[in-house]
Amino acid sequence: MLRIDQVSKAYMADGTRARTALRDITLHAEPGEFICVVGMSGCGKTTLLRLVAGLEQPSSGRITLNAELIDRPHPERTLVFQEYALFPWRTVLHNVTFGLELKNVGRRAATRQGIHYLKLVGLDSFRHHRPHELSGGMRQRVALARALAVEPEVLLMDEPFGALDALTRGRLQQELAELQQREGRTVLFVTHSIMEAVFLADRIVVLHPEPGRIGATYEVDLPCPRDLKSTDFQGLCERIEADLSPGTQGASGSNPTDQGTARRNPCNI
Amino acid sequence: MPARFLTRAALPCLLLALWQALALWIDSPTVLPGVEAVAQVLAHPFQPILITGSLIYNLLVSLLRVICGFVLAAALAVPLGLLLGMSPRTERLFESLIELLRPVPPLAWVPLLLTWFGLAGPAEYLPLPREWAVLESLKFSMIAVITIGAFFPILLNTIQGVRNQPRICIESARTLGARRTTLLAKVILPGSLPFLMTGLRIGMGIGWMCLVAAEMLPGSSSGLGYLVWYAYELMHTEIILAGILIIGMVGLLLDQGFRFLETRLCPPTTRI
Repeated sequence: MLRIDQVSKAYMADGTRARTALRDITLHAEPGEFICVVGMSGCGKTTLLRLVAGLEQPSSGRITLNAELIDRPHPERTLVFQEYALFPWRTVLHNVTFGLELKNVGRRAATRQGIHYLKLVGLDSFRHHRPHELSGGMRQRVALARALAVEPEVLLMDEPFGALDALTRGRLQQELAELQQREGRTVLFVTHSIMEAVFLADRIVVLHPEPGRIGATYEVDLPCPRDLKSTDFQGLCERIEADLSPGTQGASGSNPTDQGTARRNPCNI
Repeated sequence: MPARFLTRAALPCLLLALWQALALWIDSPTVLPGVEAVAQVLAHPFQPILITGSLIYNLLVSLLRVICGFVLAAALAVPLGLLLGMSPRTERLFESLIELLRPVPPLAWVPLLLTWFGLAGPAEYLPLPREWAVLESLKFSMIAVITIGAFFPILLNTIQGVRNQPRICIESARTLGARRTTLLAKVILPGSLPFLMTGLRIGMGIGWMCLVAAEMLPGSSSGLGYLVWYAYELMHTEIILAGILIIGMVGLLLDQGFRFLETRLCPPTTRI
Protein backbone atom coordinates (compact mmCIF):
# COMPACT_ATOMS: atom_id res chain seq x y z
CA MET A 1 0.00 0.00 0.00
CA LEU A 2 1.23 3.45 -0.93
CA ARG A 3 0.93 6.02 1.84
CA ILE A 4 1.65 9.69 1.47
CA ASP A 5 1.48 11.22 4.95
CA GLN A 6 1.40 14.97 5.58
CA VAL A 7 3.94 15.65 2.89
CA SER A 8 5.09 19.19 2.15
CA LYS A 9 7.61 20.34 -0.39
CA ALA A 10 9.24 23.75 -0.56
CA TYR A 11 11.69 25.04 -3.15
CA MET A 12 14.09 27.91 -2.90
CA ALA A 13 12.50 30.25 -5.43
CA ASP A 14 15.09 32.99 -5.92
CA GLY A 15 17.81 31.90 -3.54
CA THR A 16 16.27 33.49 -0.50
CA ARG A 17 12.52 33.00 -0.48
CA ALA A 18 11.10 29.50 -0.21
CA ARG A 19 8.08 28.68 -2.35
CA THR A 20 5.77 26.02 -1.03
CA ALA A 21 4.84 23.67 -3.87
CA LEU A 22 2.89 21.19 -1.78
CA ARG A 23 1.43 21.49 1.69
CA ASP A 24 0.18 18.74 3.95
CA ILE A 25 -0.62 16.17 1.32
CA THR A 26 -2.08 12.98 2.70
CA LEU A 27 -3.14 10.30 0.25
CA HIS A 28 -3.35 6.53 0.63
CA ALA A 29 -3.62 4.22 -2.35
CA GLU A 30 -4.90 0.68 -2.03
CA PRO A 31 -3.12 -1.95 -4.15
CA GLY A 32 -4.64 -1.99 -7.63
CA GLU A 33 -6.33 1.37 -7.19
CA PHE A 34 -6.28 3.88 -10.06
CA ILE A 35 -6.02 7.37 -8.63
CA CYS A 36 -6.15 10.48 -10.77
CA VAL A 37 -4.83 13.76 -9.47
CA VAL A 38 -6.41 16.69 -11.29
CA GLY A 39 -5.49 20.30 -11.02
CA MET A 40 -4.43 23.27 -13.04
CA SER A 41 -0.88 23.67 -14.21
CA GLY A 42 1.42 24.83 -11.46
CA CYS A 43 -0.56 23.20 -8.66
CA GLY A 44 2.21 20.77 -7.76
CA LYS A 45 0.89 17.64 -9.49
CA THR A 46 4.20 16.84 -11.09
CA THR A 47 6.06 17.52 -7.85
CA LEU A 48 3.84 15.01 -6.10
CA LEU A 49 4.70 12.33 -8.67
CA ARG A 50 8.41 13.11 -8.50
CA LEU A 51 8.30 12.71 -4.74
CA VAL A 52 6.63 9.30 -5.01
CA ALA A 53 9.12 8.32 -7.73
CA GLY A 54 11.91 9.19 -5.31
CA LEU A 55 13.45 11.71 -7.70
CA GLU A 56 12.98 14.39 -5.03
CA GLN A 57 12.71 14.34 -1.26
CA PRO A 58 9.82 15.87 0.70
CA SER A 59 10.64 18.83 2.93
CA SER A 60 8.50 17.25 5.64
CA GLY A 61 6.22 14.27 6.05
CA ARG A 62 6.84 10.79 4.74
CA ILE A 63 5.98 8.58 1.81
CA THR A 64 6.03 4.81 2.25
CA LEU A 65 5.32 1.85 0.03
CA ASN A 66 4.42 -1.29 2.00
CA ALA A 67 5.71 0.44 5.14
CA GLU A 68 9.12 1.10 3.57
CA LEU A 69 10.28 4.68 3.35
CA ILE A 70 10.74 6.01 -0.19
CA ASP A 71 13.99 7.93 -0.41
CA ARG A 72 15.29 7.10 -3.91
CA PRO A 73 14.07 5.91 -7.29
CA HIS A 74 13.35 2.20 -7.58
CA PRO A 75 11.82 0.08 -10.37
CA GLU A 76 8.97 -0.84 -8.02
CA ARG A 77 7.75 2.68 -8.89
CA THR A 78 8.17 3.62 -12.55
CA LEU A 79 7.28 6.95 -14.10
CA VAL A 80 5.87 7.72 -17.54
CA PHE A 81 6.68 11.26 -18.62
CA GLN A 82 4.66 13.52 -20.88
CA GLU A 83 7.61 13.80 -23.30
CA TYR A 84 8.15 10.02 -23.69
CA ALA A 85 11.84 10.13 -22.59
CA LEU A 86 12.76 7.11 -24.70
CA PHE A 87 16.39 6.27 -25.45
CA PRO A 88 16.84 7.29 -29.12
CA TRP A 89 19.83 4.98 -29.70
CA ARG A 90 17.93 1.85 -28.64
CA THR A 91 15.37 -0.03 -30.66
CA VAL A 92 11.80 -0.19 -29.44
CA LEU A 93 12.33 -3.64 -27.95
CA HIS A 94 15.57 -2.64 -26.25
CA ASN A 95 13.90 0.42 -24.81
CA VAL A 96 11.33 -1.86 -23.23
CA THR A 97 13.92 -4.32 -21.92
CA PHE A 98 16.12 -1.56 -20.45
CA GLY A 99 14.83 -1.97 -16.92
CA LEU A 100 15.02 -5.77 -17.20
CA GLU A 101 18.69 -5.60 -18.17
CA LEU A 102 19.34 -3.60 -15.03
CA LYS A 103 17.51 -6.25 -13.00
CA ASN A 104 19.88 -8.86 -14.46
CA VAL A 105 17.03 -10.78 -15.98
CA GLY A 106 18.58 -13.13 -18.56
CA ARG A 107 18.66 -11.94 -22.15
CA ARG A 108 16.09 -14.42 -23.42
CA ALA A 109 13.74 -13.91 -20.55
CA ALA A 110 14.05 -10.15 -21.00
CA THR A 111 13.28 -10.39 -24.70
CA ARG A 112 10.27 -12.61 -24.01
CA GLN A 113 8.93 -10.24 -21.41
CA GLY A 114 9.67 -7.21 -23.60
CA ILE A 115 7.71 -8.72 -26.47
CA HIS A 116 4.87 -9.59 -24.12
CA TYR A 117 4.51 -5.96 -23.07
CA LEU A 118 4.95 -4.69 -26.62
CA LYS A 119 2.06 -6.96 -27.64
CA LEU A 120 0.05 -5.51 -24.79
CA VAL A 121 0.43 -2.01 -26.22
CA GLY A 122 0.04 -3.30 -29.78
CA LEU A 123 3.55 -2.49 -31.03
CA ASP A 124 4.99 -5.96 -31.32
CA SER A 125 5.62 -5.57 -35.05
CA PHE A 126 7.64 -2.39 -34.49
CA ARG A 127 10.12 -3.98 -32.12
CA HIS A 128 13.15 -3.35 -34.37
CA HIS A 129 12.27 0.27 -35.13
CA ARG A 130 13.92 3.18 -33.45
CA PRO A 131 11.90 5.75 -31.50
CA HIS A 132 12.34 8.53 -34.05
CA GLU A 133 10.58 6.37 -36.64
CA LEU A 134 7.40 6.27 -34.54
CA SER A 135 4.55 8.71 -34.09
CA GLY A 136 3.96 10.47 -30.77
CA GLY A 137 1.23 8.06 -29.75
CA MET A 138 3.37 5.04 -30.56
CA ARG A 139 6.29 6.48 -28.61
CA GLN A 140 4.09 6.94 -25.60
CA ARG A 141 2.93 3.32 -25.91
CA VAL A 142 6.58 2.24 -25.91
CA ALA A 143 7.21 4.36 -22.82
CA LEU A 144 4.22 2.71 -21.16
CA ALA A 145 5.44 -0.78 -22.10
CA ARG A 146 8.89 0.09 -20.78
CA ALA A 147 7.45 1.25 -17.47
CA LEU A 148 5.25 -1.84 -17.17
CA ALA A 149 7.93 -4.36 -18.21
CA VAL A 150 9.76 -4.16 -14.88
CA GLU A 151 6.41 -5.05 -13.25
CA PRO A 152 6.27 -2.12 -10.86
CA GLU A 153 4.00 -2.07 -7.88
CA VAL A 154 3.09 1.52 -8.55
CA LEU A 155 2.86 3.09 -11.99
CA LEU A 156 3.23 6.86 -12.01
CA MET A 157 1.99 8.78 -15.03
CA ASP A 158 2.66 12.48 -15.50
CA GLU A 159 0.15 13.81 -18.05
CA PRO A 160 1.22 10.97 -20.33
CA PHE A 161 -1.24 11.86 -23.08
CA GLY A 162 -0.82 15.63 -22.80
CA ALA A 163 1.40 15.97 -25.86
CA LEU A 164 -0.85 13.89 -28.14
CA ASP A 165 -3.58 14.93 -30.52
CA ALA A 166 -7.18 14.45 -29.37
CA LEU A 167 -7.87 11.32 -31.43
CA THR A 168 -4.72 9.50 -30.34
CA ARG A 169 -5.29 10.57 -26.78
CA GLY A 170 -8.81 9.14 -26.79
CA ARG A 171 -7.55 5.83 -28.17
CA LEU A 172 -4.73 5.58 -25.64
CA GLN A 173 -7.11 6.37 -22.78
CA GLN A 174 -9.30 3.52 -23.93
CA GLU A 175 -6.31 1.20 -24.14
CA LEU A 176 -5.01 2.20 -20.74
CA ALA A 177 -8.42 1.56 -19.19
CA GLU A 178 -8.49 -1.93 -20.70
CA LEU A 179 -4.88 -2.56 -19.74
CA GLN A 180 -5.58 -1.58 -16.15
CA GLN A 181 -8.47 -4.04 -15.98
CA ARG A 182 -6.05 -6.85 -16.86
CA GLU A 183 -2.89 -5.69 -15.06
CA GLY A 184 -4.46 -4.25 -11.96
CA ARG A 185 -1.53 -2.16 -10.77
CA THR A 186 -1.63 0.77 -8.43
CA VAL A 187 -1.65 3.82 -10.68
CA LEU A 188 -1.10 7.43 -9.73
CA PHE A 189 -2.10 9.43 -12.79
CA VAL A 190 -1.70 13.18 -13.03
CA THR A 191 -3.74 15.19 -15.51
CA HIS A 192 -5.37 18.56 -16.02
CA SER A 193 -8.19 17.01 -18.04
CA ILE A 194 -11.24 16.30 -15.89
CA MET A 195 -12.83 14.03 -18.48
CA GLU A 196 -9.67 11.97 -18.70
CA ALA A 197 -9.68 11.58 -14.93
CA VAL A 198 -13.34 10.56 -14.75
CA PHE A 199 -12.83 8.13 -17.63
CA LEU A 200 -9.89 6.34 -16.02
CA ALA A 201 -9.93 6.68 -12.26
CA ASP A 202 -11.32 4.72 -9.34
CA ARG A 203 -10.77 7.80 -7.25
CA ILE A 204 -10.12 11.41 -8.19
CA VAL A 205 -8.18 13.80 -6.02
CA VAL A 206 -8.49 17.51 -6.71
CA LEU A 207 -5.32 19.49 -6.11
CA HIS A 208 -5.63 23.24 -5.53
CA PRO A 209 -2.71 25.53 -6.33
CA GLU A 210 -0.50 27.93 -4.39
CA PRO A 211 0.43 26.06 -2.36
CA GLY A 212 -0.59 22.70 -3.73
CA ARG A 213 -3.04 21.08 -1.35
CA ILE A 214 -5.72 18.47 -1.61
CA GLY A 215 -9.30 19.63 -2.02
CA ALA A 216 -12.15 17.22 -2.49
CA THR A 217 -11.84 13.53 -3.36
CA TYR A 218 -14.35 11.73 -5.53
CA GLU A 219 -14.98 8.01 -5.65
CA VAL A 220 -15.88 7.13 -9.21
CA ASP A 221 -18.22 4.17 -9.15
CA LEU A 222 -19.42 4.38 -12.72
CA PRO A 223 -19.40 0.99 -14.47
CA CYS A 224 -16.50 0.14 -16.78
CA PRO A 225 -16.10 0.70 -19.68
CA ARG A 226 -17.29 4.19 -18.99
CA ASP A 227 -19.67 6.00 -21.27
CA LEU A 228 -18.55 9.56 -21.88
CA LYS A 229 -22.05 10.56 -22.93
CA SER A 230 -23.91 9.23 -19.89
CA THR A 231 -25.48 11.80 -17.61
CA ASP A 232 -23.69 10.35 -14.57
CA PHE A 233 -20.34 10.82 -16.30
CA GLN A 234 -21.09 14.38 -17.28
CA GLY A 235 -22.57 15.21 -13.93
CA LEU A 236 -19.39 14.11 -12.17
CA CYS A 237 -17.28 16.13 -14.63
CA GLU A 238 -19.33 19.22 -13.86
CA ARG A 239 -19.04 18.75 -10.11
CA ILE A 240 -15.27 18.45 -10.32
CA GLU A 241 -15.09 21.37 -12.68
CA ALA A 242 -17.03 23.53 -10.25
CA ASP A 243 -14.69 22.40 -7.52
CA LEU A 244 -11.68 23.47 -9.54
CA SER A 245 -13.14 26.86 -10.38
CA PRO A 246 -12.28 29.96 -8.38
CA GLY A 247 -14.42 30.80 -5.41
CA THR A 248 -14.69 27.23 -4.17
CA GLN A 249 -11.10 27.06 -3.08
CA GLY A 250 -11.48 29.13 0.00
CA ALA A 251 -7.79 29.93 0.18
CA SER A 252 -6.06 33.18 -0.60
CA GLY A 253 -3.14 33.85 -2.87
CA SER A 254 -4.38 31.96 -5.89
CA ASN A 255 -3.53 33.15 -9.35
CA PRO A 256 -6.59 34.60 -11.09
CA THR A 257 -5.29 34.28 -14.68
CA ASP A 258 -4.64 30.57 -14.29
CA GLN A 259 -8.16 29.99 -13.10
CA GLY A 260 -9.56 32.10 -15.90
CA THR A 261 -8.04 29.88 -18.55
CA ALA A 262 -9.08 26.78 -16.70
CA ARG A 263 -12.70 27.92 -16.67
CA ARG A 264 -12.80 28.87 -20.31
CA ASN A 265 -11.36 25.55 -21.33
CA PRO A 266 -12.66 23.11 -18.78
CA CYS A 267 -12.53 19.69 -20.42
CA ASN A 268 -9.83 19.61 -23.00
CA ILE A 269 -9.92 15.86 -23.37
CA MET B 1 27.57 8.40 -58.85
CA PRO B 2 29.95 8.95 -61.84
CA ALA B 3 28.66 12.49 -62.32
CA ARG B 4 29.23 13.14 -58.63
CA PHE B 5 32.71 11.75 -58.85
CA LEU B 6 33.49 13.95 -61.84
CA THR B 7 32.35 17.02 -59.94
CA ARG B 8 34.63 16.12 -57.07
CA ALA B 9 37.60 15.35 -59.31
CA ALA B 10 37.24 18.34 -61.65
CA LEU B 11 39.00 20.98 -59.57
CA PRO B 12 42.01 18.86 -58.51
CA CYS B 13 42.51 17.81 -62.18
CA LEU B 14 42.34 21.43 -63.29
CA LEU B 15 44.90 22.34 -60.65
CA LEU B 16 47.21 19.57 -61.85
CA ALA B 17 46.99 20.82 -65.43
CA LEU B 18 47.63 24.38 -64.35
CA TRP B 19 50.56 23.29 -62.23
CA GLN B 20 52.12 21.38 -65.11
CA ALA B 21 51.67 24.31 -67.49
CA LEU B 22 53.17 26.69 -64.95
CA ALA B 23 56.10 24.34 -64.32
CA LEU B 24 56.85 24.14 -68.03
CA TRP B 25 56.64 27.89 -68.36
CA ILE B 26 58.82 28.67 -65.32
CA ASP B 27 61.22 25.89 -66.24
CA SER B 28 62.96 25.79 -62.86
CA PRO B 29 62.56 22.54 -60.86
CA THR B 30 63.65 24.27 -57.66
CA VAL B 31 60.84 26.80 -57.80
CA LEU B 32 58.20 24.53 -59.23
CA PRO B 33 59.01 20.98 -60.29
CA GLY B 34 56.79 19.29 -62.86
CA VAL B 35 53.98 16.97 -61.93
CA GLU B 36 56.02 14.03 -63.19
CA ALA B 37 58.90 14.78 -60.79
CA VAL B 38 56.54 14.73 -57.79
CA ALA B 39 54.81 11.63 -59.14
CA GLN B 40 58.22 10.02 -59.40
CA VAL B 41 58.81 10.57 -55.68
CA LEU B 42 55.35 9.25 -54.80
CA ALA B 43 55.78 6.23 -57.08
CA HIS B 44 58.76 4.96 -55.12
CA PRO B 45 57.62 5.18 -51.51
CA PHE B 46 60.14 2.62 -50.26
CA GLN B 47 63.16 4.28 -51.82
CA PRO B 48 65.37 6.00 -49.22
CA ILE B 49 65.11 9.73 -49.69
CA LEU B 50 68.23 11.71 -48.88
CA ILE B 51 69.35 10.38 -45.49
CA THR B 52 66.03 10.54 -43.68
CA GLY B 53 64.70 7.16 -44.82
CA SER B 54 61.93 6.38 -47.25
CA LEU B 55 58.59 8.12 -47.59
CA ILE B 56 56.84 5.12 -46.08
CA TYR B 57 59.23 5.02 -43.13
CA ASN B 58 58.59 8.67 -42.29
CA LEU B 59 54.87 8.24 -42.80
CA LEU B 60 54.90 5.27 -40.44
CA VAL B 61 56.82 7.25 -37.83
CA SER B 62 54.33 10.11 -38.01
CA LEU B 63 51.32 7.77 -37.92
CA LEU B 64 52.65 5.84 -34.92
CA ARG B 65 53.28 9.08 -33.06
CA VAL B 66 49.83 10.41 -33.81
CA ILE B 67 48.13 7.16 -32.79
CA CYS B 68 50.03 7.00 -29.48
CA GLY B 69 49.38 10.65 -28.70
CA PHE B 70 45.75 10.42 -29.72
CA VAL B 71 45.03 7.30 -27.66
CA LEU B 72 46.65 8.95 -24.66
CA ALA B 73 44.59 12.12 -25.18
CA ALA B 74 41.36 10.14 -25.49
CA ALA B 75 42.19 8.04 -22.42
CA LEU B 76 42.63 11.24 -20.40
CA ALA B 77 39.99 13.52 -21.92
CA VAL B 78 36.99 11.16 -22.16
CA PRO B 79 36.87 10.11 -18.48
CA LEU B 80 37.60 13.67 -17.35
CA GLY B 81 34.92 14.98 -19.72
CA LEU B 82 32.36 12.52 -18.35
CA LEU B 83 33.24 13.51 -14.79
CA LEU B 84 33.07 17.25 -15.50
CA GLY B 85 29.87 16.87 -17.51
CA MET B 86 28.15 14.97 -14.73
CA SER B 87 29.31 17.11 -11.83
CA PRO B 88 28.98 20.89 -12.17
CA ARG B 89 30.93 21.38 -8.96
CA THR B 90 33.96 19.51 -10.29
CA GLU B 91 33.67 21.47 -13.50
CA ARG B 92 33.81 24.76 -11.61
CA LEU B 93 36.96 23.44 -9.92
CA PHE B 94 38.65 22.73 -13.25
CA GLU B 95 37.14 25.51 -15.33
CA SER B 96 39.69 28.30 -14.89
CA LEU B 97 42.61 25.95 -15.41
CA ILE B 98 41.10 24.59 -18.62
CA GLU B 99 40.27 28.05 -19.91
CA LEU B 100 43.82 29.16 -19.17
CA LEU B 101 45.54 26.26 -20.92
CA ARG B 102 43.20 25.79 -23.86
CA PRO B 103 44.23 28.90 -25.84
CA VAL B 104 47.93 28.00 -25.67
CA PRO B 105 48.94 26.74 -29.13
CA PRO B 106 50.15 23.15 -28.72
CA LEU B 107 53.42 24.00 -30.46
CA ALA B 108 54.26 26.51 -27.74
CA TRP B 109 54.78 23.54 -25.45
CA VAL B 110 57.50 22.03 -27.62
CA PRO B 111 60.47 23.86 -26.03
CA LEU B 112 59.28 22.86 -22.58
CA LEU B 113 58.66 19.27 -23.68
CA LEU B 114 62.12 19.07 -25.22
CA THR B 115 63.61 20.42 -22.00
CA TRP B 116 61.83 17.74 -20.04
CA PHE B 117 62.04 14.74 -22.30
CA GLY B 118 64.94 15.58 -24.58
CA LEU B 119 65.07 13.05 -27.37
CA ALA B 120 63.97 10.16 -25.18
CA GLY B 121 61.30 7.82 -26.39
CA PRO B 122 59.42 4.79 -25.11
CA ALA B 123 61.68 2.47 -27.11
CA GLU B 124 64.50 3.07 -24.66
CA TYR B 125 62.49 1.49 -21.89
CA LEU B 126 61.45 -1.58 -23.83
CA PRO B 127 63.58 -4.50 -24.89
CA LEU B 128 62.88 -4.36 -28.62
CA PRO B 129 64.24 -6.43 -31.49
CA ARG B 130 66.32 -4.58 -34.03
CA GLU B 131 63.66 -4.77 -36.76
CA TRP B 132 61.42 -2.48 -34.75
CA ALA B 133 63.65 0.52 -35.34
CA VAL B 134 60.57 2.59 -36.25
CA LEU B 135 59.57 2.60 -32.60
CA GLU B 136 62.80 4.30 -31.66
CA SER B 137 61.61 7.39 -33.47
CA LEU B 138 58.47 7.70 -31.37
CA LYS B 139 59.87 10.33 -28.92
CA PHE B 140 57.96 11.42 -25.81
CA SER B 141 58.02 15.07 -26.81
CA MET B 142 56.25 14.42 -30.12
CA ILE B 143 53.63 12.19 -28.49
CA ALA B 144 53.02 14.84 -25.84
CA VAL B 145 52.41 17.57 -28.45
CA ILE B 146 49.71 15.48 -30.09
CA THR B 147 48.19 14.63 -26.74
CA ILE B 148 47.96 18.32 -25.88
CA GLY B 149 46.51 19.20 -29.29
CA ALA B 150 43.89 16.45 -29.28
CA PHE B 151 43.02 16.73 -25.58
CA PHE B 152 40.87 19.88 -25.56
CA PRO B 153 38.51 19.17 -28.46
CA ILE B 154 37.83 15.70 -27.03
CA LEU B 155 37.33 17.07 -23.52
CA LEU B 156 35.00 19.90 -24.51
CA ASN B 157 32.89 17.73 -26.80
CA THR B 158 32.54 15.04 -24.16
CA ILE B 159 31.38 17.59 -21.60
CA GLN B 160 28.95 19.00 -24.13
CA GLY B 161 27.64 15.52 -24.94
CA VAL B 162 26.95 14.70 -21.31
CA ARG B 163 25.31 18.08 -20.77
CA ASN B 164 23.13 17.58 -23.77
CA GLN B 165 21.42 14.52 -22.31
CA PRO B 166 17.78 15.37 -21.65
CA ARG B 167 17.13 15.34 -17.92
CA ILE B 168 14.01 13.22 -18.31
CA CYS B 169 16.02 10.53 -20.12
CA ILE B 170 18.30 10.25 -17.12
CA GLU B 171 15.42 10.42 -14.67
CA SER B 172 13.41 7.74 -16.40
CA ALA B 173 16.52 5.53 -16.44
CA ARG B 174 16.83 6.09 -12.69
CA THR B 175 13.24 5.13 -12.03
CA LEU B 176 13.84 1.98 -14.09
CA GLY B 177 16.64 1.04 -11.70
CA ALA B 178 19.83 2.64 -13.07
CA ARG B 179 22.44 3.48 -10.44
CA ARG B 180 25.55 5.59 -10.93
CA THR B 181 27.69 3.17 -12.95
CA THR B 182 24.85 1.67 -14.97
CA LEU B 183 23.55 5.15 -15.69
CA LEU B 184 26.96 6.11 -17.03
CA ALA B 185 27.43 2.96 -19.10
CA LYS B 186 23.92 2.53 -20.45
CA VAL B 187 22.56 6.06 -20.76
CA ILE B 188 25.11 8.85 -20.54
CA LEU B 189 27.84 7.21 -22.61
CA PRO B 190 25.66 5.99 -25.50
CA GLY B 191 23.64 9.20 -25.38
CA SER B 192 26.68 11.40 -25.71
CA LEU B 193 28.39 9.17 -28.29
CA PRO B 194 27.63 11.45 -31.28
CA PHE B 195 29.35 14.36 -29.51
CA LEU B 196 32.17 12.14 -28.35
CA MET B 197 32.84 10.90 -31.88
CA THR B 198 32.90 14.46 -33.20
CA GLY B 199 35.38 15.36 -30.48
CA LEU B 200 37.60 12.40 -31.37
CA ARG B 201 37.49 13.28 -35.06
CA ILE B 202 38.40 16.92 -34.48
CA GLY B 203 41.03 15.89 -31.92
CA MET B 204 42.62 13.53 -34.41
CA GLY B 205 42.71 16.25 -37.08
CA ILE B 206 44.31 18.77 -34.74
CA GLY B 207 46.72 16.14 -33.45
CA TRP B 208 47.85 15.40 -37.00
CA MET B 209 48.37 19.08 -37.79
CA CYS B 210 50.29 19.66 -34.56
CA LEU B 211 52.50 16.68 -35.20
CA VAL B 212 53.61 17.64 -38.67
CA ALA B 213 54.33 21.16 -37.47
CA ALA B 214 56.19 19.89 -34.41
CA GLU B 215 58.34 17.65 -36.57
CA MET B 216 59.60 20.74 -38.36
CA LEU B 217 60.93 22.22 -35.14
CA PRO B 218 64.45 21.56 -33.88
CA GLY B 219 64.85 18.29 -32.00
CA SER B 220 63.12 16.21 -34.62
CA SER B 221 64.96 13.79 -36.86
CA SER B 222 62.20 11.85 -38.59
CA GLY B 223 58.56 12.02 -39.62
CA LEU B 224 56.78 13.63 -42.56
CA GLY B 225 57.18 17.14 -41.21
CA TYR B 226 60.89 16.60 -40.80
CA LEU B 227 61.13 15.15 -44.31
CA VAL B 228 59.50 18.23 -45.81
CA TRP B 229 61.72 20.56 -43.83
CA TYR B 230 64.84 18.63 -44.65
CA ALA B 231 63.95 18.61 -48.36
CA TYR B 232 63.59 22.39 -48.17
CA GLU B 233 67.06 22.74 -46.72
CA LEU B 234 68.47 20.75 -49.62
CA MET B 235 66.21 22.53 -52.14
CA HIS B 236 64.41 19.39 -53.26
CA THR B 237 61.09 21.03 -54.01
CA GLU B 238 59.56 17.89 -55.54
CA ILE B 239 59.99 16.13 -52.19
CA ILE B 240 58.39 19.08 -50.39
CA LEU B 241 55.37 18.85 -52.66
CA ALA B 242 55.18 15.07 -52.39
CA GLY B 243 55.35 15.38 -48.58
CA ILE B 244 52.56 17.97 -48.51
CA LEU B 245 50.39 15.75 -50.69
CA ILE B 246 50.92 12.77 -48.39
CA ILE B 247 50.22 14.85 -45.29
CA GLY B 248 46.97 16.06 -46.82
CA MET B 249 45.89 12.62 -47.94
CA VAL B 250 46.60 11.01 -44.57
CA GLY B 251 44.67 13.77 -42.82
CA LEU B 252 41.78 13.21 -45.20
CA LEU B 253 41.82 9.45 -44.66
CA LEU B 254 41.90 9.80 -40.88
CA ASP B 255 38.94 12.18 -41.02
CA GLN B 256 37.00 9.91 -43.37
CA GLY B 257 37.72 6.94 -41.15
CA PHE B 258 36.20 8.72 -38.17
CA ARG B 259 33.22 9.89 -40.20
CA PHE B 260 32.63 6.29 -41.24
CA LEU B 261 32.81 5.17 -37.61
CA GLU B 262 30.45 7.97 -36.65
CA THR B 263 27.77 6.87 -39.11
CA ARG B 264 28.18 3.23 -38.09
CA LEU B 265 28.09 3.83 -34.34
CA CYS B 266 25.56 6.63 -34.25
CA PRO B 267 22.71 6.03 -36.68
CA PRO B 268 20.71 9.13 -37.49
CA THR B 269 18.67 9.38 -34.33
CA THR B 270 16.78 12.57 -33.95
CA ARG B 271 16.69 13.42 -30.30
CA ILE B 272 13.51 12.63 -28.50
